[in-house]
Amino acid sequence: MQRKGENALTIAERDVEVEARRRRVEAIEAVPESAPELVAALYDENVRVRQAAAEQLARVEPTPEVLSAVLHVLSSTGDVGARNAAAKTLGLIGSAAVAPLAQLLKTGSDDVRRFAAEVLGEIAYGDSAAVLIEALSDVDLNVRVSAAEALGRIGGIAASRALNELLAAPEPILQVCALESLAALDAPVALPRLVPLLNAVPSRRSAYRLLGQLRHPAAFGLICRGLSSVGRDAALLGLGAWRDGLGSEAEEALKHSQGLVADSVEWLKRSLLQDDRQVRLGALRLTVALNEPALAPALAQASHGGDLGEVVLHALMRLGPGGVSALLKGTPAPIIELEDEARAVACEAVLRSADPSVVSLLERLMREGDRELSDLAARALGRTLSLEALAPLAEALDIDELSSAAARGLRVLGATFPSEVAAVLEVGLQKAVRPHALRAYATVWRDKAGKRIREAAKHSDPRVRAAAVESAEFMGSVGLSELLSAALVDESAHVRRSAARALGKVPGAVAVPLLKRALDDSEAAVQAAAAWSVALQGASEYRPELEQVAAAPSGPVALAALQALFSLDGLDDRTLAAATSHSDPEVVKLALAYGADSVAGVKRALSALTHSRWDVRVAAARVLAVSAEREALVALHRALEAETDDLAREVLMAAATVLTKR
Amino acid sequence: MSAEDFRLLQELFCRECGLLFQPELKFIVERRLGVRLEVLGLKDFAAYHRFLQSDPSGHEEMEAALDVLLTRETYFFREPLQLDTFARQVLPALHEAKGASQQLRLWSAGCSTGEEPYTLVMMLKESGLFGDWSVTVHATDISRRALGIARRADYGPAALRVTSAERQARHFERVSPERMKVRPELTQPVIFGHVNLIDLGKVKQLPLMDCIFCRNVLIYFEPGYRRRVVQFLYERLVPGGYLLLGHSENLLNVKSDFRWVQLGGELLYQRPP
Repeated sequence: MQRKGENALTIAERDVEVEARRRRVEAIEAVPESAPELVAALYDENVRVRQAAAEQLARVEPTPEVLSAVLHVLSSTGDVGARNAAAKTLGLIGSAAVAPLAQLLKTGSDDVRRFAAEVLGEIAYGDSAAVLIEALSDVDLNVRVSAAEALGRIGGIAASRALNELLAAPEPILQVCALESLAALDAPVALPRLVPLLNAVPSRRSAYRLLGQLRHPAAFGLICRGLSSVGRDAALLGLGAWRDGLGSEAEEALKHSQGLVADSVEWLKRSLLQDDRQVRLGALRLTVALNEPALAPALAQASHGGDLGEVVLHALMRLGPGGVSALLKGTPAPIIELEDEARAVACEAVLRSADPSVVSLLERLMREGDRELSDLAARALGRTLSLEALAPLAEALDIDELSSAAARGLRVLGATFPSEVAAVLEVGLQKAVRPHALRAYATVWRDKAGKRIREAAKHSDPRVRAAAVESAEFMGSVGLSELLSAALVDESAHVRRSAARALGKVPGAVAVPLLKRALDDSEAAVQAAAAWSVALQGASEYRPELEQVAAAPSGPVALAALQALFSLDGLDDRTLAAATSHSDPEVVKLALAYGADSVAGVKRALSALTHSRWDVRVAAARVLAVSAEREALVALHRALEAETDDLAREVLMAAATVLTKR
Repeated sequence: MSAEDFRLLQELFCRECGLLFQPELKFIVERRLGVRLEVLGLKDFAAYHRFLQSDPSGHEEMEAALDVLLTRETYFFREPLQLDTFARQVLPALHEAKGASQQLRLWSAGCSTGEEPYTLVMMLKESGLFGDWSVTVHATDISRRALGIARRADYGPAALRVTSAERQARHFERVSPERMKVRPELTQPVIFGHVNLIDLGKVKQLPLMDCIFCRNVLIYFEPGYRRRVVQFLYERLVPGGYLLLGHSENLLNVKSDFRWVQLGGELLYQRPP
């Protein structure tokens, strides 16, 4: 154990030393006189120190001496770390380093010429295209490859033309490099040069990917042909890279391409699981075109990695109820085997596409699935809008974990079959009064539920009383005022809050006189609900009370009061100013947004740029983007310099861009 | 869900429970929390964040959110190779080491709906080594709803999909055409508890364990909290005790005092004896 402790200490000590060296390098003044010291630091054993040295050197004025010293590191050392740091320095120096690098590209050793080409690519300065094009004829293959890659970063007409010509190079590696560079540049390509490369094994994948990007009238036909050839895996890449939407004609062509291929379903199943995003996308498009429901489970799995979720969902929806059946049919149902994104996307598709044809499958899933799937099945059963879903939902109402989902399902079903659903719920309520079943019953049976609601409002369980009060909006006027009055003095804050909420939904004649009592409640939750109900009733006579509540130290109460005041007839500056200094950042953000259209609001947003919370700074930047004048740019730039949060930086930069154009 | 809303929720879950939902999980987070928005009648995720943070029922809702977010799909006898190593290597080793006290304690940390702790009891029984011993399997989870299901010990075909017919007959009773219940004598050794693994106070209430299963749980934690949880697990093990993680998990980049041992082709962690 002791030795372990000692080791840990040594590592920690070493960390401290490295950190000290890095700080020393950062403290070196960025002037030409310091260049030798900084150049020496490029040889440091630690990458963080070398990185700091490269960044500091790049800040030094690039005099010929400075450049020569850095180029010397690049060209004369076998130390890989130092060489990479020198390359990084030159990349950061940028255009001033182009001329000496171009010289090095002509005169250096094989390795040095290669590094020079790579750094020129990193600098991506248009003027270096000519020398790089020249380097495409270098005697060394590696230099030619690096030059082609660099041209792919620089772009321009000359670079595109040279890369097009390179497609005819005898070396496959150069062809691939040219294809990848042209794809990166999104440059036009002469189709006759591309076609032979579709058939050659080394270049096939890159060639198809580029073909997909081309938008050439003949390109889609070539991809379709490729999908039935030995190169079909590569052709999928092309289909994945295809940028335009696929109309019915294109989908017909895709379908036709698979007409004679015996194993396309099995092949697509495998392809949908590939790691390459474009291959998966291609497979997904082909699956949709084939309209093969059996592929639904594999299609769901194409969402792995999290980057294709929405696209996969859309594709599953295109397969319709057949696709849903394929996800649910079998033992065990394929959806049970799905995990993570695949399961999330499949669940969503089932929920959206459920129709009467899958009731029995959903019923089975509700019994056989794990808790997520049982819950899904209960919700989806409601959406089938089928009377056959009624019995399984009624059964689920008695199962604790499912009763909430079942009640929601029944509520949806109740819009189509109110009396049937109400009858089922009534039977359940006679056995035991469950809060969500009561709410569903009231939603479906509306004023006919009055008696049941009044009874439940006196139940011993406060959750049931709360549900009854929340359902009061449906019960009609008989006994309504008495029920709400009693609820507002209930011993349970939960019930009082439900009553305060209900006051926003029942007729004003009943609600308005009771609002005062709710606003004066000692519980923050009740006050917050009451504030919102004031707004819903448009009861502006309560404005003074709301202004008082807006100054409450409780965030939720202040938030609700601000929202209510805003929806009544706006907020005055004094209230907004007070809210901007509230301790709850949510209140501050809301106050900033509500005050966005006033001069004072812009001032408050400018001050909020230094708020300790990133999301408040973001809210302030959004206000400035909408309402501030160009003068605010100074403060925005200052905030940008100080900003350490990536997301906040993004929003601040967007705001600065908007103001620059204003 | 905007990037900002996702980030706010991400920070909130991390602050409250130490869980980190990586950006690539945004799609899943959005879909699963979408259900909660529907239930609460909220219009967007910004409102949901405000609700979680400021509403008096926020704490309750946080549990409901975790319940849908941490739905860990599991089943009996999951990861058979690892379980085989457990049966062939770990159990005999524990039998030898604990022979004097004849007392064995296992912990299923993050037991979800109970399939794992019951599987462990079944394996202990199948080994035939611990007949007269005092055996306890502690099973904890952050989701109360999952624990409720686990306590009922009643499962459908999804949970039994890799359990052989022979094992089903031996360890379960059929309660309906589709559902099986774990035999009562196998539920006896299992003690369920609601534990958030970052809560040292709660973790400390558990006794020292001979072996901990913490499979596919650490992946959810923010690296700082992950270190903390690993340290808690270490402290809850007797010297020489084993930690079994999920198949795709390891403690690389997590500073810990565990040492790793290769048993039967499987990688296990051990608290040094």
